[in-house]
Amino acid sequence: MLKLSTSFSKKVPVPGQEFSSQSYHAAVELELSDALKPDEVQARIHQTFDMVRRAVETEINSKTAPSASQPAALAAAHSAFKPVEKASNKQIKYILDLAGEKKLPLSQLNADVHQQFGVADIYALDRKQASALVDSLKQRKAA
Amino acid sequence: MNSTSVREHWSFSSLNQLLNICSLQWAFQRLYRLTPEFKPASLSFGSAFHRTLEWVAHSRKEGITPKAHDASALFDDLWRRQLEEDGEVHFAEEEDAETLALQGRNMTACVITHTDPEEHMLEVNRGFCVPLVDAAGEVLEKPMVGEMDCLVEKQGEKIIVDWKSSAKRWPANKPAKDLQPTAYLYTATLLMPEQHIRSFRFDVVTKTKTPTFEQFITTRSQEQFQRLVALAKVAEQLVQGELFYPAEQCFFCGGCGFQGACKAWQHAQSRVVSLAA
Repeated sequence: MLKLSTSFSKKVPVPGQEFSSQSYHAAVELELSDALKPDEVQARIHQTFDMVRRAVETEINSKTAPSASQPAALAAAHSAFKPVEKASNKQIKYILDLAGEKKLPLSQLNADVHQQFGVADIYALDRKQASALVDSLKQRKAA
Repeated sequence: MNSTSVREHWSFSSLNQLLNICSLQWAFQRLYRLTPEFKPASLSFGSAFHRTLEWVAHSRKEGITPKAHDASALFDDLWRRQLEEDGEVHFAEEEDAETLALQGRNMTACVITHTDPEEHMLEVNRGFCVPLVDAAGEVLEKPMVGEMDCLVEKQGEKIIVDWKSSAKRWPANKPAKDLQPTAYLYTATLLMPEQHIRSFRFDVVTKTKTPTFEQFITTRSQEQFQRLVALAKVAEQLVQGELFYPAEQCFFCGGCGFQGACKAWQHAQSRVVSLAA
């Protein structure tokens, strides 16, 4: 008995999120008969790989491109993927300057940002969130 | 990724290209965004090889070390797909798709053979974005972004690992001087201070008939982190002043896709001068 292990992974950027990627990975294991000839084994490998690859592509497409027959889902998807204006480098620098004055290390600042706004780090903040964070840091400073 | 939505930033490779390889190549590629005349096969090869090692690392994270034969077969497939994706690539002398396919299979098998069972794969492809802060606490406006190939743990020590394929064996002093460990360890001290990551390792496989696998562990000091930020400041000044010039005896000229634009560079310079006058 031959064992065929096939996998396919693909990374795609997350729309509207900088420096981000989502990884899709599918793997399948099959047992093949010893009686298969080399070209038949090759064909099964090709066939299986193609199947796994298609499964990954389908999964990605189902997440990123709803069909035209689903207008509500399409609209929601467009709305969800509409690029949000990220905080500018100037805003982030200002936040970091304020944090620096408070001796707040980046790791703690990122943890606070994650807790307060649900984003991965300060560079994932949008403009409004950044403004809110500036206000909050200023208040901390004054306190 | 939509480039218009990406904030301006530095990366290790961008800094390295500008400061250590060729500032004119940096400008052609990243500022003026010229289309390269060709894509060197080494880049396509590197992409396929890297993706193969990503798969190996993901498997290892799940507790499975792939068999050399399986990983080599995957490289073979990725290499062919990469060539299809890249279209016309520029092969060096005595090189073609088949010789590189064989080389890649052998290199992949070589990596698998050298897998350390004592080593645990913790993370694969960890992206980051961190501020560049100088010794006086001044924050540079552009952050530094990048992606660590993987983070491993061995005997309680966490190590950032980067995979490299190289035409020849590395000189022993290269890891100590390289900017990449500085950039990545600087990042680790900012983002993961509680993990006390002090070591960076290059896993280097040679693109030779019989590939060799070597590991180079290095570390960096606070002084070197400050030097990195100082270099980024200089890089910023170079870009602001558009101070780009050809590195005439650069080792990388042969594989550079901007050779035509480079040859005509002095004429473009003359035009700029006469317009300015």
